[in-house]
Amino acid sequence: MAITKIQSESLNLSDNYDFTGTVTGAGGVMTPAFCAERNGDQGISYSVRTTVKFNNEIFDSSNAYSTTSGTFTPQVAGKYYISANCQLTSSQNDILNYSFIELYKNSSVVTESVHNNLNNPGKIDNHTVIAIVDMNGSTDNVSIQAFINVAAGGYTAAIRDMSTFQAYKIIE
Amino acid sequence: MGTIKTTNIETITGSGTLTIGQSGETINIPSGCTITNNGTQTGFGGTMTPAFHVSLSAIQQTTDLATTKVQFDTESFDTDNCFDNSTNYRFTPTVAGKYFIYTSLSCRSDSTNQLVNLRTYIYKNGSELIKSIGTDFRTNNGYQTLNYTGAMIEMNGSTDYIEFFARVDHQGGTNGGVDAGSYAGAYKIIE
Repeated sequence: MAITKIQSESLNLSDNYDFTGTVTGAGGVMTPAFCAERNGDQGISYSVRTTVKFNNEIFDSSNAYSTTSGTFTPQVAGKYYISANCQLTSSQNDILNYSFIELYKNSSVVTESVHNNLNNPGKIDNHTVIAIVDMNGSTDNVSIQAFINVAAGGYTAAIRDMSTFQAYKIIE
Repeated sequence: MGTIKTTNIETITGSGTLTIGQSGETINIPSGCTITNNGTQTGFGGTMTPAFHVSLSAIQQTTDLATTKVQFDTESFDTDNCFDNSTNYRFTPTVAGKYFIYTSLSCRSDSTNQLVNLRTYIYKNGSELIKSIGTDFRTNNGYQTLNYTGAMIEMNGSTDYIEFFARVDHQGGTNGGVDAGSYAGAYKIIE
């Protein structure tokens, strides 16, 4: 008679077990995860906070990132490693006074990167933000906002092509 | 078909191995049960390897505006010997999956007030995949700058490889280099 069930009040696995078949439900996975980038510059008005639209997905394991809204809304609760790298540029040399990017969770700033060149304005600032953010797995979302201040009106500004935004879940 | 109710299962003394199930079948742990592991386990979950972290041991000279492969020559660790730190300076992971890849480059001009900007590139299979432009001083030239970038990239676990490049723009065609201590690394994420 074949035995199909072993039932115990407490199964103590004090021996060594080597699983070489398929195991599900053990350990954990680092998904949802995604990586997206800017494909082409995104023009923005100076001195106006603007959501960065990383419009090209390199991958998106769980379809949790929206290229339309620029938001990542994972449907699995947990803590996520989130980072972004953005290059903010002015249209002319030596007019970029200061700039920053902010990592938003819902409507609150989690962290930011600021460059202030007021006495020595340049053309491009490079920003990186990194944080581990607790997400509720339903409504919580994160996004990147950018801001550029230039020396005078009449110029344009942009978020550069190939700026990136990515996240993955950490295993707890 | 039957059920064994017991509190302890042990291997026969000397055998050391307890086999549960066989190929093609499923061992089910019902919802609400808890497995407490006080021993050693292998094969469960996943690992975040291959992984590596490398750096430059000395400044690497670059030519103005030339896109130059960064020759990371010092390994802090390289779990699966997937990074070549002596010939091609590339990461060729032998496990398919998605990898978080990062690099931080610091560069300088040969003299002060000559640096315009630094571009950092991550190449996949010889082609530019990620580009990050560091602070652009333009005509208000600087001397040193730092540029960090990271991205997650899918690798096929056999032929795909990653390399890191730098392009330093100096005023008036002077030269400079990528500083010692610049670094790069990667690790596999568990899916």
